[in-house]
Amino acid sequence: MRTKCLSVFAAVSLLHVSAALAADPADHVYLPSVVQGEIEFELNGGYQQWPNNGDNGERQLIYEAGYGVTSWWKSELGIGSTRLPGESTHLDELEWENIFALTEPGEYWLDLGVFAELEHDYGEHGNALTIGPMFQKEFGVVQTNVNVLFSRGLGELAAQGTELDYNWQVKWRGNPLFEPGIQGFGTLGSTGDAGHPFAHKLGPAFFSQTLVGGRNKLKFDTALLFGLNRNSPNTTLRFTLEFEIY
Amino acid sequence: MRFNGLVVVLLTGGLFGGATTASAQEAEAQLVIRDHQFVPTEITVPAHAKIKLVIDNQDATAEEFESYELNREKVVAAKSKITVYVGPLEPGRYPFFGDFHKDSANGVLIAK
Repeated sequence: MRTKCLSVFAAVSLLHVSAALAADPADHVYLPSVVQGEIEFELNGGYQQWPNNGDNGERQLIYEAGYGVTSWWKSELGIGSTRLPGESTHLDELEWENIFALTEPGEYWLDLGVFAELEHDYGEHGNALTIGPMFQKEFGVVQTNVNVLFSRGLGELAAQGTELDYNWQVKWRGNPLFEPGIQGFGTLGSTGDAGHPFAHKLGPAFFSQTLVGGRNKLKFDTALLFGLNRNSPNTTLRFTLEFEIY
Repeated sequence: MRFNGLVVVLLTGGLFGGATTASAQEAEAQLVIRDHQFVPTEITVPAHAKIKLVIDNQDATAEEFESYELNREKVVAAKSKITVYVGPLEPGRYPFFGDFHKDSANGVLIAK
């Protein structure tokens, strides 16, 4: 555990950051678990409808490929495209995601991990770092997850301040083909902008997984999220489709 | 027959220290992977206790311990051991399998 913590903190200390990120329709909840040697192909998508935008909502797709490098570190590379209201679809971002599982699932009262992502935003011509803890707690067949994410831009042109976002979910693990749950996403503002609006959205979700021959596994989850205040999209429909190969 | 039998050792709390609950009861069970099979195929553990499951892979190839019911998935390298923590569990049967040898590596953890 000490080695894991040192590795994570060393990575963080090398990356100094600035500039806030907006909540994305394809956001998803990160889990503090890693399977060593596993290869993942993942598609994250989302559509969100803002007030007064008619049918011209925001769409986002992010393709990712990842690998469980060790029993506690998974790394993923991704590329994303976005279509903003009134614009055409464009290449939006390149990202490098890392999941560090700091505890063995179930060993302590709370499972803990660290999420770290380095992202290049083509629209803003800048880089950004997102980092934060991931928590997981099981209550029998109910699994809860919370992510607390701090995001800053990199470089002189980046906006000042650190944005604080959160993701969470609760799901009932009764049947692998259909696990009902709830997901929530939001932002609590930026340290560099006192007037930065909060945004919160939540709604029903379901999760599904099945073995698809050999050692391969197909996972899917989706959620229909509703904005809780004026700064949030009215509705967001998000999904993750994941194919795992060992 | 060192590894054929189930070894369950009840330990009192305070094992982990730190943020863990000092009064939590914990049981330890051992499981062997040999010839792509789990030995024993059934393990009985106490319900309502945290279980420390030590899995010893004696084969020359890797295996993956997996159980949807236990919400665990972990690779065991050849000739090595891992520890998997589960529970506290309600009384019942919790199947597990070896993802790399599903035809032969199957077992069930029984909490009672």
